[in-house]
Formats: sequence, C-alpha cells, structure tokens
Amino acid sequence: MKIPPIARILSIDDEEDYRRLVRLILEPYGCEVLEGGSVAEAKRLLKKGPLDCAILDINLPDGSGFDILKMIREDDGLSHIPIMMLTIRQVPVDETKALETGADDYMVKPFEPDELVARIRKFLKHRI
Amino acid sequence: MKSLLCIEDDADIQELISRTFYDRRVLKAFNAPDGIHLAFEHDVETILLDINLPGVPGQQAISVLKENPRTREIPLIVMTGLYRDPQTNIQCLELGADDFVLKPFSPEALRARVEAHLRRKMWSGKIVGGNGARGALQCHGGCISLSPDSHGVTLVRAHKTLKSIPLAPLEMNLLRSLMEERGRVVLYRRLLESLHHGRYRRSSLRAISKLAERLKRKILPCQDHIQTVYGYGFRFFCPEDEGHSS
Repeated sequence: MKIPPIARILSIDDEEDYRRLVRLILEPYGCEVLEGGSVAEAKRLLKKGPLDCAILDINLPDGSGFDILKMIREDDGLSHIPIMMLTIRQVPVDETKALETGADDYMVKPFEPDELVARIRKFLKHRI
Repeated sequence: MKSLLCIEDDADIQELISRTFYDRRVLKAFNAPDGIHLAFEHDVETILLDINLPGVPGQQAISVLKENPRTREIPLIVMTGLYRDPQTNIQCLELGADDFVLKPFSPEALRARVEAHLRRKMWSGKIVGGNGARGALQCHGGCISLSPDSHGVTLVRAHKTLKSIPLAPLEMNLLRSLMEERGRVVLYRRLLESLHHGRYRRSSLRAISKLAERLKRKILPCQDHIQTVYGYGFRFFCPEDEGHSS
C-alpha cells in the first residue's frame, strides 16, 4: 500500500537550491513538497488538490510572493492554509507588511533546518 | 478585558512593549513565577516571554504554561537575544512556544506577529467548530457519526441507523483524533500525546495498538474505516471521502 503523505506543502522559490533544500529537509518527515519557481507555477500548483501549508519567497521572476499570498487568502477554499514567507530580505517593513497581509510567519534566509522543521511542525499541529 | 502578558526582567523593554501595545491592557511580570501566576489569574490573550530571566529560566515557564489546559492555547512568543545559540530558539519552539523574536526587534513587526498569531488562533477555532469547542463529526459516506456531547458513536448504513455504541473516553478520543484528520495518517507519537495529555511514553505504543483493536471490534460493521499503517500510525478512511477531501 502506498503511504499517503502526512502533509502536502507548497514551496515557491526562484532559486532551485533553496527549493531543493526545503524538500530535502521536509521529505524525511513524510511531507510531499510541491515545488515551483514563479507566480504562474504557484497558480498551477494551487489547483492540484488540498494543501496543508505554503512556503513562499518574496522575489519571483514574474511577480512577488505577496501576489501568491493575496491569491491564497482571497480564495475561500484555500484561505485557511498557514503561510510562511521565506525570504532573503531582512527588512522589518517587509516583515510587518507580510504579516499584516495575511502571512502567519516570516523567516529569513539562510536559516537553520531545525528551525524550519520546528516552525512547520507548529503549523501542522505536530502532525510531523 | 483581554490582556497581553509580558514576562521580562528589563524595565526598558517592558516600557517599549507597553508603548507598542498602547491600545491593550499590558500585564507586567519581572520573573517567571509571577508571570505564570498572572497567566493563571487573568484573561490573557497573548504572552511575551523573555528567555533569560533571573531565577526560574524562561524554558521552564514555557513548559508550565503549555502543559496547563488553562494557558495551553494562549499564543506564546519568546523574546531572545540575537547572539544566542540558534538551538536555544529551536528548543523553545519544541517546548511549545508558538514563535520567537530576536532582540532588538522592530515594534511594528512584533505587533504584526502578535496579530498574526491571534488571527490564526481564531481560524483554528473556526475549523474545529468555534472557540475550540469540538463539533459533530461525520464521514462523507455518512456511515459513522460522532456527536459532540454524547459518549458514543452512531453507525448508519443506507440512511438507517444500525446502532448506537457507547465508547470509553480513550476510544472516543482516538476515533475523534482520526476522524478530524480523515484521509491522513496520524502518527503514533501524536496520538500518544493527545491521548496521554502531552506525555509521550514509548511503552504506550502497544497500549495504543490494543486500544485501536478494541475500537475496531466495537464498530465492527465499519471496522475497515480505521486502517493501520505499520510503523507510522493509523488513518481514518472512508471510500466516499475520496471525492470530498478538503
């Protein structure tokens, strides 16, 4: 029997290395990580079934992580998903803006893998 | 009136917090025991906790506040020094803290973080049925229904009630935990934590398997709904849920 994932996580980042890092960190905990590098790919992935959490970069080639954040929060079917902004920009204004726009957490790259797991574990109510 | 509790030994930071949250009542404590006492005595909606406190350390305060049912659900944000070992911050999250901010922090960003936690807490309350109250549960096939107040389960087939079965509290909690996460595997560790009030005991693994077996025997016509995923845990599965998964 194929074991269903414990959680499905959307990871959007234009840097492939960071996407791979997030996947390598979360997959051993039984998470399925859906990866994309742009707003357009995020739109496509959001239609691919239920999600438990989203990790979004802010700088994307065809827009910003804020566009995806708003898209999720304005969609009745998706608005409950916990969202973490994961970005290289350590700007308090950005952090405030992200949290006020509807993000649940804001983390700066580079990050500690254990910290990412601990924060995602909170979102998933200790399922992982 | 709901309050924000700040447990911090530095009077300047206390003052900064009071100014940042000028529109709320801010309760101040300068050490962990006083802070815990205030959290138990008042209607607190958020706790800000310095980790480096005189006497009882902040980590111990996290454990006490997150183990007590009265304060467990209150968002707890740890304030910590920038140059502290990152493992200390992670340990705080693992002990149950909901977030941490590094000092020096931006007051606006701290305010936004507190708001984000309160918003998420409100949403989680809605998802499980308002104010954290646990609502009725039913699988989409409609064959098992668990009402919020009763101490049993009702089995239904083809719109006819097959029978109502009384369940023991632990069996009830197990079934509820699985139905709340229907379609997904619920890990042994998480079940143990929710069934044994947050205490994880490796010796309880056998007990939980026996509990699941007992529950399956009781709901015999629908026993296939509880699947054992060996080495991981259990999942509640209803074939008719497939099209409705949310």
